[in-house]
Amino acid sequence: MTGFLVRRFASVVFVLWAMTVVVFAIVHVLPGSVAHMILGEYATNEAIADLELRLGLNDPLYLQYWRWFTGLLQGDFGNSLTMDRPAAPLILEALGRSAILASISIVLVAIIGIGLGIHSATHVGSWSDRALTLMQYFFIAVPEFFWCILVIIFFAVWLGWLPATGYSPIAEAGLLGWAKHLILPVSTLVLGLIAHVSRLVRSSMLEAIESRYVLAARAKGLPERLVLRRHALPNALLPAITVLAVDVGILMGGIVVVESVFAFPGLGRMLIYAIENQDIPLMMGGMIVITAVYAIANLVADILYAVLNPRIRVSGSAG
Amino acid sequence: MLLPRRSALAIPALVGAVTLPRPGAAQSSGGGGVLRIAMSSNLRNLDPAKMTIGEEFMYAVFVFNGLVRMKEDQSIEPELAESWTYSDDLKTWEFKLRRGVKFHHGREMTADDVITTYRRVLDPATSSPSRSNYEMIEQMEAPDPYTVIFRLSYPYGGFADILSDRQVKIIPADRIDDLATRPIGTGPFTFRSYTPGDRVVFGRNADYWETPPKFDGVEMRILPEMSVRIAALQAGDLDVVWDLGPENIRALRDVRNVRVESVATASWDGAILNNTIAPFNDVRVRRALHLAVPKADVAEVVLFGEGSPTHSPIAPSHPFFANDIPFPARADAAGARRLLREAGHPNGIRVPLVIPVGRPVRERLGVTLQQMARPAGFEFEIQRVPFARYAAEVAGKVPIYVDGYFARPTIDTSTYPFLHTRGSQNARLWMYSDPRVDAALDAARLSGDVNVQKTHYLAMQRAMVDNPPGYFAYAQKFACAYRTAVRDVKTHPMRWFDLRAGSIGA
Amino acid sequence: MRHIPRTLWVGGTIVTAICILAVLGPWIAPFDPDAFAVRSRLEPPSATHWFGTDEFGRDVFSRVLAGAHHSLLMGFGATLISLVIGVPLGLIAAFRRGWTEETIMRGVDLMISIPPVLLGLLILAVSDPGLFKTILAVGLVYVPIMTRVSRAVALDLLAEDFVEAARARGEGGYHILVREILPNAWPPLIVETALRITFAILLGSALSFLGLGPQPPDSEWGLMIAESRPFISEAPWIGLAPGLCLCLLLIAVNVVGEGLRDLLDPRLRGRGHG
Repeated sequence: MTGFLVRRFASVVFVLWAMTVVVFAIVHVLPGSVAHMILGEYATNEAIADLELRLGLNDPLYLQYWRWFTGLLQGDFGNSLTMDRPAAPLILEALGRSAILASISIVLVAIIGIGLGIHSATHVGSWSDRALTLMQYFFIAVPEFFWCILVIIFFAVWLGWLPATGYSPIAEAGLLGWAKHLILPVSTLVLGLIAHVSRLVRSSMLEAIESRYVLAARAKGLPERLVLRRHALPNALLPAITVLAVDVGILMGGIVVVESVFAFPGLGRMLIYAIENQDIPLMMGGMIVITAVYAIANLVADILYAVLNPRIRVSGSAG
Repeated sequence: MLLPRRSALAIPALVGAVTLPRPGAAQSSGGGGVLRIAMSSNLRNLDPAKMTIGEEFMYAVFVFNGLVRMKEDQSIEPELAESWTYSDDLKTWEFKLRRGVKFHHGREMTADDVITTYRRVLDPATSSPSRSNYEMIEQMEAPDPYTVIFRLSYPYGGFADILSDRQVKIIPADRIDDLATRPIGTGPFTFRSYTPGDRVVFGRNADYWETPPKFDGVEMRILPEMSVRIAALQAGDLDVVWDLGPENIRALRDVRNVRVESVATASWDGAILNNTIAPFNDVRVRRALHLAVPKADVAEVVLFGEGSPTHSPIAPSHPFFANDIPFPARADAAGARRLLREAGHPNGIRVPLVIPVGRPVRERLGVTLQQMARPAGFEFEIQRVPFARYAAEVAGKVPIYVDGYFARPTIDTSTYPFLHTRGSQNARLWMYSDPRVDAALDAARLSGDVNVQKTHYLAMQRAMVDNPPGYFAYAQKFACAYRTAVRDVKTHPMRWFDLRAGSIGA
Repeated sequence: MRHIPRTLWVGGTIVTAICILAVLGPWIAPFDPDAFAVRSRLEPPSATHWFGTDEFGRDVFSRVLAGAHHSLLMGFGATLISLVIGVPLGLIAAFRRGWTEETIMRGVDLMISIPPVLLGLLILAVSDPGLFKTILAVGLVYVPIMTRVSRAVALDLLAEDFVEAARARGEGGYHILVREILPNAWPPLIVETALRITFAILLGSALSFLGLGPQPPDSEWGLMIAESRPFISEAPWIGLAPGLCLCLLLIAVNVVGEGLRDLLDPRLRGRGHG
């Protein structure tokens, strides 16, 4: 088990480091100079040359990378070019807000997804099961950005029930107002994922229910409830956990679009803003942070999976 | 209600935005409520000297004052300067400053602050966009703390007018380093906080040197989606939508609790044609484009009628506009093709056309140009580039791209930098040179008589018909939407708001 | 031949119909998709304009038809790329083990660590957008998953008895690959491919929505939805039409994928990947 953990950890560290190299390389392939970005289009050539000297932009790339990398390790992401203040606090604040959105979404996806999946599996063929299956086909296939538009048209413009913007600080609108603003963005994020997770849980439950262990347990005369809980459920949950980890990645992709449309000031929005405005420190820092979160989510999922699934522990590899 | 699990990282989000402690001084309520204005993008700069976008100009007028101020009818009146006189040769200007004007941190404004402000703008290291507008300032003196004397290197009749511009708002000499994060000015509102991606918050300045505003505060909210802004306005979550898109004006005019106000401005959009690289380095090709795409149609298609075609940065609503130069009613594809053949392009032209991502009206202009120029032999391939990359990749490098510019305070500052051979913007945009235009611009500067100026500007516009630098498409109207409860807030042609008198009624 | 599930019939018919419409689109469209008609701007759906008109007066139905091929090309093209690159990589990893496998799988881990939309954004930051670059980008994004799946399938198969038997008979690696592995590997691979197409279309249109894909005046469906945003309250059909068509295509492709899985390898039920 320890060996497995160590290897996974090392893998995460490697991935993060490789990301810094990739991001740095890509960003420095971008046309236009950083000094130009800082000083704006009205700078004189002398001012630009001067700034480039001061920022060390004429040094060889590997030196610049080293400087940036060591800065990263100390928590210094450099200064945002467009907002003229340290990038790290900006990124972390935005991350915090996105984390709220993501946490609420993942919790909802887990609870509702797993719940619906179990219900479907234990009531196969009922109208609720069929209705669910139909909805699942539907929700999986609708693109996130389209959902946002639909939902805005429907709930905010036509019905006027819910606010069309995603963010209202608790201090201002109170807990209820804050929650109300979150309803539309969160629902847009979770619908597809709930469909995904519930289908998965349903199929794994069904598989487990028909498996040998369960047959044996039933043959022993155990009550159905117990059979389900002790034998079917754990086996059904295992794939659900891996899928949840993958869903974190999908969630992040979805967050980028959802935050843009609903004006939610999170990390996804900040990243798009940074890319559009070529705010390089913000862009690089944001990408690293998102990758880190995703890598950690995957790590956690892998660990959970290994803890729950004895077969993996022994063989030492997970897929 | 079930509280969601929050990660520990969420906590800083509630307290981390840049904030100023509330001033200890009397924070008496104005009673007018907090005005919530919606806009589409982040402020990139809190330093007035570096401002470039409309949202920043709005903020500057809340927090700062200039020596003079521009009213909604585009005339100027004294602001921080009580009065001024000028020498007969128009080269020496003396401004008397108001006494007792306090910055938000309590210190009184003096001549030293004024001189520091202008010196900063003139300093190349600051990289101010309007540095070249003030290059005629040779020397500044402060014989006493309330008098500033400007000595100009050449006579400039409009000197007082250009002091109303956005980049020369007066800043405190002792708080320059804080400008980017905790700006201090003399304006009717104090800066409280800026959360990028979310909002900028202002408080009421109870010690404002004029009558303090009725509003208790202002919030500028950042909402990129226009539909979201409009929905929030109708729902009462917002009070003002700044820069309403022309496509939305029609729909909102029928809504009961919303008022739309639209004014003519000199802000113009157009296609910037590079005069030094093919194919638009040939004047015949530039003229062919004008024949191929009738401006009247362009304004109608792109702006839904909220604007009018123009020949130059001089707006159709301005007295100097050349009304006698006609706009063709119809496309002349044959004429355009003939010109192209003469210029050596018998099979037409194929070039990329760059349009800015995130500016829907200009994107529409690009698509319209592309579509309408096709029958005349122009094959434009559209490339969408974020406008933040224009400086690095586009300006001065591509043959044709779509862009636009805000109105400037005076006709001279609207035209000279763009059209004169030595103009600062000219070198960045089209690299245009026409001796007749130069002569007209120089002559107009030398006279203080409005009628004489008019003849020169008319001559300039006529010369531009024969030799157009680029395709000036239209002067756009500027519209804002307000909840009917908002009183005494008007749409300003310079795209900012004068909030000194307004309030939110019951 | 096993009984073909109904889902496969229905889904397959819809997808085929869309493909045919996409190919015939330019010829059967009632109006020129690029033609402005300023007088009939923002008109709701009617007998002449089935899906209404947009802000330039262009017929939305014609534009939807003209844009269909983008989504299909993105789905099939990108998946093909991920197949062509990912499967050999996965098979090599499964066969060689050791350092080759380690390197390949570490690379895969790295790429999987980047959420797909982000990868697309990274590429947005660097190059000029366009249809083929988007197809390439989306294809590359899904290479790691194809690699993982094909490796897992190959590993599973390599542990089977008949492979042991083949080894015992002295057959070389190449023969085992071609004679034993591939014939048994293609059912799960096909299923995975079909499922991947859905995601490829989704990702491709999301990137177009963000501005990366085909440029105006091309009427790629994601781009059309993006361009419809200023007019949502006034003229929702401009965005609804391409959006609903996109959903229809995605559901149909998804259904086909599921149907294929039911047909070829019922064991894989529930083994859906992200």
